[in-house]
Amino acid sequence: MEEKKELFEFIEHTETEAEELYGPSVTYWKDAWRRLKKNKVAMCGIVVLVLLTVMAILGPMMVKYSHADIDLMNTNQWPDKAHWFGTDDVGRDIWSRVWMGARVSLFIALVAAVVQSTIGVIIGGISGYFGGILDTVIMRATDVIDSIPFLVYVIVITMLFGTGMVPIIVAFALTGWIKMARLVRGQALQLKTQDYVTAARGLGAGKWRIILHHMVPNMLGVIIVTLTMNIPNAIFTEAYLSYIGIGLQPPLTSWGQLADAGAKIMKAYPYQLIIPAVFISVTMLSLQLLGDGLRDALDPKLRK
Amino acid sequence: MVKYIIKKLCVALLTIFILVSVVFLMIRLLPGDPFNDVKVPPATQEKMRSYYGLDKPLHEQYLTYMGNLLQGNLGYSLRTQNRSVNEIIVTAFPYSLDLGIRALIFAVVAGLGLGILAALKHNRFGDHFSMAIAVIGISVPSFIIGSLLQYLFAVKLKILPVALWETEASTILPTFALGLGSVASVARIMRTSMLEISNEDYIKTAKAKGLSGFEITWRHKIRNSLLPIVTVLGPMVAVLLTGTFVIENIFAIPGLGKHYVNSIQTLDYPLILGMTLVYSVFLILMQLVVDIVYGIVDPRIKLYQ
Amino acid sequence: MKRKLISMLSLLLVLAMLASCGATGKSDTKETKSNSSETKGTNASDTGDEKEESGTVSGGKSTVRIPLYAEPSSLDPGFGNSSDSICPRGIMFEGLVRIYDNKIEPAIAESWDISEDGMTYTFHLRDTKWADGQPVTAQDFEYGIKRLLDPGEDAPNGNYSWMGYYFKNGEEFNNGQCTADEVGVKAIDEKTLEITAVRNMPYFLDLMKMPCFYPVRQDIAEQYGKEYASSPEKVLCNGPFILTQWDHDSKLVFEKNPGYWNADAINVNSIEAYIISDDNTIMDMFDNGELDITITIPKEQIQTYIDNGEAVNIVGATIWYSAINTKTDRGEASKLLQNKSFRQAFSYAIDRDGLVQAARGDGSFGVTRMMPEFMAICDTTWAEKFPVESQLPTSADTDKAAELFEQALAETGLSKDSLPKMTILTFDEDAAKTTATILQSVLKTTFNIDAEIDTQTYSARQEKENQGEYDFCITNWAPDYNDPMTFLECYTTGSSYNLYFGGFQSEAYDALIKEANETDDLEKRAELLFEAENMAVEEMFCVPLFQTSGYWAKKTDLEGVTKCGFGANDPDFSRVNYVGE
Repeated sequence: MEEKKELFEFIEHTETEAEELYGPSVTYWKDAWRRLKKNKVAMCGIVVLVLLTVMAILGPMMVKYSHADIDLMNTNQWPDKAHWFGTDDVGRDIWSRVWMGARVSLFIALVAAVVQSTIGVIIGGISGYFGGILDTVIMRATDVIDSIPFLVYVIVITMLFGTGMVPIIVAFALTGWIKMARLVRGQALQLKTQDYVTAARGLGAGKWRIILHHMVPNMLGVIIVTLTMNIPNAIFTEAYLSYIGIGLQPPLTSWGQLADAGAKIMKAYPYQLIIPAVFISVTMLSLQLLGDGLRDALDPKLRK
Repeated sequence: MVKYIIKKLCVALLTIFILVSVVFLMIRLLPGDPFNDVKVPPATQEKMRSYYGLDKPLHEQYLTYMGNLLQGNLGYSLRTQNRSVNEIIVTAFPYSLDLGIRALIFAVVAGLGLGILAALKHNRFGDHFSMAIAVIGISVPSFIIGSLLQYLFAVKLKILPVALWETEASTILPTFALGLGSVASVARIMRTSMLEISNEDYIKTAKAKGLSGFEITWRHKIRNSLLPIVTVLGPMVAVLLTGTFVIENIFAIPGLGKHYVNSIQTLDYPLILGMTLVYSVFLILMQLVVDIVYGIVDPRIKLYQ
Repeated sequence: MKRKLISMLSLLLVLAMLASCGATGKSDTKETKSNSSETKGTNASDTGDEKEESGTVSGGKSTVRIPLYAEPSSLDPGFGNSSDSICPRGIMFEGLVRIYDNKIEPAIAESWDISEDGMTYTFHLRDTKWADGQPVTAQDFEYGIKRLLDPGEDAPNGNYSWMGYYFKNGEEFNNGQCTADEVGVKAIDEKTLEITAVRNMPYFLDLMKMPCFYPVRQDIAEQYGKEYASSPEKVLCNGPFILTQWDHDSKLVFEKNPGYWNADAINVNSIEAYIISDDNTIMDMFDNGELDITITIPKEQIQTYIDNGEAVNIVGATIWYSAINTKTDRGEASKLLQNKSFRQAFSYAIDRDGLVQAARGDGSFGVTRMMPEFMAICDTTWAEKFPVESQLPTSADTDKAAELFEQALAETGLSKDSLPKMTILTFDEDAAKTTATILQSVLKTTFNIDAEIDTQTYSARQEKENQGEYDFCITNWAPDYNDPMTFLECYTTGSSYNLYFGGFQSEAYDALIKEANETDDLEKRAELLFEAENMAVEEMFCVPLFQTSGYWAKKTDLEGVTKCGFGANDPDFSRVNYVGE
């Protein structure tokens, strides 16, 4: 008996404390984070993305060449000890240009993601959930916005906002959410007929609560995948806009612009295409892996 | 159902009317003038403007355009001698349509195939393989894919023609280059959608009832996962079928794509409007089809009540 | 398991390809459509449509396959000169003269006499036939030019009708101020054409090559009106080849014209022109034998084609400049921009050799004069007539630049620490962007001036230039005709191009050009022009950077095809031949 007393300590307890003996309550988001941490592949994606971000800040400082330094005596040099990634057609160091470009392209990726996940999800959600005339008006308005040629927007935007980063962000804010809105609306149409939505409504949940707490989590998978899928498009759109003079002006650059420039001379100097292309692909791969992990982690049906 | 469609078509017509009006005004905001050329004396420029009716007040031009549009007349291109916009579209559209349909079939078949494969083999080789294709498909732009395909299959291996739209063999590379991005989208979305469905109660029920794996996949999983695919397919059809500048440019295909870009750059107002119209009619019709298909794929969705 | 998977996948892919191949059978209908647009048997070609073997066939029955960047906006000579249609029109029509190997050669005009005052030209036509077998007459030329100028409803009224203003009363007729009979173009008889110019222009013959002066037969043109030359059935050709098929945006087919006066010099049966806008595609097709010539060669591939003997060099006549805005009020920056020492310092600071190598790399070369050396003047070239001993260097002279900059600072009272920020206006073309980038770096490293680059589309840049919204501007000029005047006239105060080249305002300069235009003494005219060029170089409001040059490729068994450095560099097929096997 005495031995047992050493092993088991008797705890005083009250009635109320007994009720709480269920373990700490785990919120949806905490649970999701816990599951995400267990997913090694997704964590890998996060690590790579963080690394790229850190390098975007530190990378240009690691070499003595700035992204703008022109050296007409050393143009189109293949990667070597002096220039780790070689030089471009006016002799600028590609290493520092890649990391300067990363700042722009990662920022663009962020903008694209934010625009889609806010404007796109809200507009699509409202349209799909409320249906009826509101749905018709919103979706047809979306069609009109989608049908106006992008180049027309862009030129009008430049007239209003000049050149630089602002018109690019405006252009994305105007048109970047359309795909997402359509997808979310389709999902919402399907989900609002589900039993749990009916149940929530029966329990008196408000419209916004139903949309944000019940429907959105259930369509997160599709939202995240679409989100990540549309990012490269945004990166290359920026390059196109900058090329025709709407976006960044030289010597600033981005991955999209580097890849564009490299593609033109890919037969002679393939490294000038391969280097930025690899960075874009690695970023995309990480985003996809993270997206898949997030999908698994956030899926309420997988919650145990 | 018929009533629903008629109602929707009326809304579609109204949408197109609004769109044409908006674009009509917007393109006049673009800087420059179609006949402003420093090498041409102002008097000659004036003559050209008056020949195309651009010297009239804007509202008059608008009414004229709308009147002609009602009769199906899209006006004359400002950049060519006596080519009507109708004729340009009729000439170029079959090429874009042909290429678009091929790319669409490729995108749907390969995309669904890869997506289903990835979902069934979740986190195994099939999944990673389809992921690899998807990452390439979306992160390498089509002009790079197109040039690489040309170089590999036409210049190095010499098994396919470099460009032009003449023989069946010449259609393979552009179809592949145009469709690859869409294959990636379809595959990724199908995979996700199917994975979500796999955890639904009715799938578990079906399993418990002792349905075979094939039955479950075919009758329950795939059918119920199609909704997001239908959503993306609508606009995708419109985009693929109405021509793509990059691919048509690389493979020298005389489709609609280049008119989209060139008409804006040269301020060819009637052609810009014509191009916008073609795309929007497709887009809006496809959206209607999408809504109808929603009801077929998921009988619980009732849009037309 | 894995193997099964892969085989399943490949099956899927194959299925997809098959499905996509069988999707539509439209290409067949296209074939028939194109066949139906063959003309009414103007040519007895029996080779048919199937020319899969491409142009490698030798002997007298071959097809040359060529690329065109864009669909011709019109093939009607009366409609204009737009660059996309110069090449096809040169194949199907022929004018009084033609430029071959950079020289003016007699074409339909066998010879010509020029009057004492240099105003009246009498052309004697040779015997040559239209595609329908009728002879080409002086009346056809007269009608063609008057149709170009005709302000009437049924005339083409193209935006290049002003080209006819070079003729006496041309402008008046076009503006409805006189009748067609008063225009200085007259057919004396079937074979003699008399043209009176509006003033004495040494470069008049050079203008006569232009497509808008090609002959047009009245009966055919009046039959089709504005639709003349809109399809092979609605046009009558007099050139080395005849248009027989025109699939819009896709391809044009020309068959040899047996009635062409120099038909014996051509052993090629037909030319197929494909509309291909992408240079890489053109190069790939050329390498595969699907095309016989290219339009250009991308700079990094030039050496390869030089080595295999397919590259042809062509020295262009376009000069690229950096205009310096001396006219508009640009705030603080104007102090420097309007200072001659600063402009000269800027010119000295530029390493033109390095710049052109990076921006073009195609054999283009740095220049420090306002125009190409080979511009024609008094039966010789500009450089030989007026050799400049102490030319500015094409490489940078930073010491001289620094010295002049110090002087500029002293003159303007600006201090080195508070230099104004500047803008370099450029347009969306690789060479233009690279040039701007390099000049930005020149300003920074030599003068410590921060400059911003403003990239615009080509037309938007013109708009901004015209408004004077720039400090520096990348601009270029291709001569309209072979005479220094085409360059020097642009810098006058009254020129509509004034602000494209820095907005130079000088009464002395204007007077020089005016006098040169008015004098009948060609020697004196040359001296005046030289003085004007010297003034432009001294003032440096428009800094010459480089003269374009380039390469194009042609198959080695193709002969007689040349390109002219002037104009749009279009190939001439009037003597095209296949040689060898």
